[in-house]
Amino acid sequence: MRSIARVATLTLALTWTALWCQPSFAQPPSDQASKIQFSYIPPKSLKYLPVFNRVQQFKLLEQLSEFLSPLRMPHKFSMVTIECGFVNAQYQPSKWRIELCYEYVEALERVAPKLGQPSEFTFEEVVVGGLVGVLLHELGHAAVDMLNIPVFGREEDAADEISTFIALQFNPEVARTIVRGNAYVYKVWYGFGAPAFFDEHGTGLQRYYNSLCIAHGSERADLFKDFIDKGELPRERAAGCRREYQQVRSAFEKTILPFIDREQMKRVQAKEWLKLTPQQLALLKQQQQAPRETYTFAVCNQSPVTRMSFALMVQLVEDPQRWQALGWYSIPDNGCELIGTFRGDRLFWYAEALRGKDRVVWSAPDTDQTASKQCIHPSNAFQLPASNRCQSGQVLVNFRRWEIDPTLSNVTVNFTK
Amino acid sequence: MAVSIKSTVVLASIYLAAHASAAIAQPPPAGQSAPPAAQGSQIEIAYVPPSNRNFQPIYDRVKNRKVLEDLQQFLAPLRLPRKLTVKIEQCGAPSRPYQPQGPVTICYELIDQIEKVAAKGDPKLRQPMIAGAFIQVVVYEVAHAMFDILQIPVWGRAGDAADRLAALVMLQFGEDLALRTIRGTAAFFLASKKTWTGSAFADANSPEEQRYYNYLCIAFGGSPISFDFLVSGNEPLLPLPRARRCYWEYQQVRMAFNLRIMPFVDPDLLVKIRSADWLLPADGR
Repeated sequence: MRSIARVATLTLALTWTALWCQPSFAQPPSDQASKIQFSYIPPKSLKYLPVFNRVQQFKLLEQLSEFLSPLRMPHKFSMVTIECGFVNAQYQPSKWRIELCYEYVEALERVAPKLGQPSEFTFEEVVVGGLVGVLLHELGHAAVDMLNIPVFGREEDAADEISTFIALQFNPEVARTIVRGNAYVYKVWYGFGAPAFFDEHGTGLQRYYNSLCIAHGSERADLFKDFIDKGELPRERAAGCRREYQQVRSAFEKTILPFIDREQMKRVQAKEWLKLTPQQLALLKQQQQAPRETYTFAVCNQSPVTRMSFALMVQLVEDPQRWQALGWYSIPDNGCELIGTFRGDRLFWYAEALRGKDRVVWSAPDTDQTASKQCIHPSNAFQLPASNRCQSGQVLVNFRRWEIDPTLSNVTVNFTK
Repeated sequence: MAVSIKSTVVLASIYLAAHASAAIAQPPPAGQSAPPAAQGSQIEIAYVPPSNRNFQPIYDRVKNRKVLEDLQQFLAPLRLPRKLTVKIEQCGAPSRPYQPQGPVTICYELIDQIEKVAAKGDPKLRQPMIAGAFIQVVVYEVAHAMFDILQIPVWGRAGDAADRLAALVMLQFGEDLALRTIRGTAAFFLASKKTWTGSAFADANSPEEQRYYNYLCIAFGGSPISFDFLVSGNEPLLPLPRARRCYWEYQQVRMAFNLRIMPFVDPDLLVKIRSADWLLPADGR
């Protein structure tokens, strides 16, 4: 999924301004009576634009709302993707809204296994299964709220159970993708670090074993036999899984099934879901094999300074052997500017702006060993081969160095002070 | 040790007996001549003599103090569709988890264990810990039986559900009883906590520390004034990110109780039990 972004970023600059208009809600075309609305809300930060494009290209919310169309909620509710300012997905009871944060999608892609990295899970099942899994978890919270479901146990576990149980109702491939995606998220991502026992959630490992246990206790146990064969589920727990599954099934039948349209359910169950297109899959594989070669660079000014001008020295995509000094880019006050796509693992930058009437300069001090002195044109736009021998009309300034994280495809410099 | 364990039983039975005598003291409703528990109660009780002689003193005390008879009275408002046996028995393990259609079993081993954990702790906390933990164990085990007998849909893990229901019940009988039992329960979980790592988390039951916070959260959510000490100070016992959600956690269990259990409760009898004098002795002697 990640590589889809590549294509998306190329058209980014053109669509950028159009994205700021208010989101409008959409509905799955196949079921006009559905009470599920969805919307991809444009992110405020440039860095999440690729994620925004990716989830739209995958038609994540379209698929999910059709997937959930048999559920007859008492009123409309919505699912959105949104920039939250933190890594999470949540259900907002006051808005009857499920929110998937772009930050969560990005983090999930970051923790997913890479090619060549030994893992029992594929990138695809973690990214696709994990995303759908977390949305089904939030749907669990939504169902508890909107259907007034009595919950005696911890609601967070209830939401996990709903996520796993619903996943198990679909065709074997979908069931396996979501359960395995959830398993990876719980075990590898959430299971990392010291457990916080005071939290209303179970620990990552508890959630991992819970979901495995329900899957193992279900009619679909054969799909998850590999976990059991590897001894992932200790025998003492495995022995009670049939009963645990029956508890979930019985609770589902009593509290949620009455709100499910059986006919619609049969139609939905028969469909293929969550399949990446051959093109998406090819891009995904290509991306997995090739290390990142390029990155997209953007600058945001959210500080009190105004009229910022930005210059940088980079390796161009078409000619990576040569360093080029580029300028000037006007950064909008309280806004962002996409500079371009470049190669390499570092760049150098220099900027000027006004603080009130005073000129402010961001240059490296002479003592900075990592900096680089370059000639620029002080007032006109320029694209110059990197050089510290200035010609007439040029001045020498000291560029600051910026390391580019090799795992990131999108880099944003954010001025906040 | 002998003194302490005696206190457990005394405390528990005093609390139970207090309600029993109060309930009996009420004039019976018209047409009702026997005490509530004796009429239509579906609770049967048994003290099974232990084969291990070490447990004999516990057996003698619980039997003499009529702990289970008091529990029978306490559960009298419940209108169960079938009989439920509650027994105290030697299990060969600290607990014998409830099985569908089965009896509720309180193990001598667990009473003994509670006593031993309490003996190692702060002497001031010893008596409330024993009493609180004992009452918690009984209510927790009965909660499992309720889920089965009343065919209640249980979302979330059964053990956590039983804990939350037990905490809710422990809060319904006045501030003093709530404070003592919740404090005692919490102290016991803290004192008996183990280190959990790796596949230990595969256990179907929650770690002691999680149970500790779950009880505190329901208590604070249901009774924020009585339990305000949980959120005071720089390092509150109940961390604020959790505490903020506790009102809703309490309401959620309460709503589930009202929807799924209240239809099986005789409301008039419940009022009598709740209005009884539930004060415990000051030090649990």
